Amino acid sequence: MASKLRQNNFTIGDACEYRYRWYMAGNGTADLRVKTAYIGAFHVRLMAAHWSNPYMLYYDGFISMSVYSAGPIGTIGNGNYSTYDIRSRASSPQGSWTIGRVSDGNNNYGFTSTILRIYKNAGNYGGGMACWVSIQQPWYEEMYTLSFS
Amino acid sequence: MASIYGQNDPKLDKVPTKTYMVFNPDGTFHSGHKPEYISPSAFGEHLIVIEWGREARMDKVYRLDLETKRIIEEDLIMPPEMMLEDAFYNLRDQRNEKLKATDWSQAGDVPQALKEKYQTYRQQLRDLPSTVTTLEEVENLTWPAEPD
Repeated sequence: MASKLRQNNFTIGDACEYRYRWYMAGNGTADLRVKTAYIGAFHVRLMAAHWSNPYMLYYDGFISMSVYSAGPIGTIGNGNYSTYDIRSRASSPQGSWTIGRVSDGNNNYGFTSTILRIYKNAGNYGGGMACWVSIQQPWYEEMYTLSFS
Repeated sequence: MASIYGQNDPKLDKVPTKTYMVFNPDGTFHSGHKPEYISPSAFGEHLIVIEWGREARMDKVYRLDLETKRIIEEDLIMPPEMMLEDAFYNLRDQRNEKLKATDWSQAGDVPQALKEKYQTYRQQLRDLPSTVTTLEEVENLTWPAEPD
């Protein structure tokens, strides 16, 4: 068991990027919960492939959200949240990516969340694929933590 | 917290890479991760996490023997229908490249005789996928000859 984990979020200039890669089968599902920082914008990129184009699935998009000083620190949007898909591609062998957030409750501005959810649904191919996520944000203040279920 | 089961294989002692191999409760494969970057507590309690002496490979399939807690690794064999799907995809991809490479032949300033030769050739390329149905036919395909 690893005693000390290596960092996989780091600053590039004055912005922060989190990267993680893993391995899974195309017919498997992944439900990732990423605890994030108090910010106004993400750039999320998700990628996986086993082989050539038919086995490629990716998502590239921005998340923008409302940020108010009256709202709780650490939420992904104090109520308001939207995604803008730059590119998104599903693959019948390998599945597809979706992103969203997990409800923590409500404040005066509505729905709140501190958890970004990345979900990969099942394709029909049992062979393996390399997956990686990249999340860029303006500040380094809070570490990302990642969980799979 | 997810369970950790040690698994030692003397043949793999010299391999420095380790992996957390994660399995669903029924023994089917969930995912493989590098321990340097993730804690076992990151996986849901219902998942079984095994520290393994090598990295998961894309050309293998994995399952867990729930009694012995040993990982079963088998060669990945692509189903014939997916091999055919792949072959057709690559065929169409190559065909499209050949069409793109001859787009110039249909420009307004190309002599009519040459343009018509290429029209025939390009139509043969477009029709090509419909002339084959089996993997063997795709693999032994004869491409139409490009006009001189």
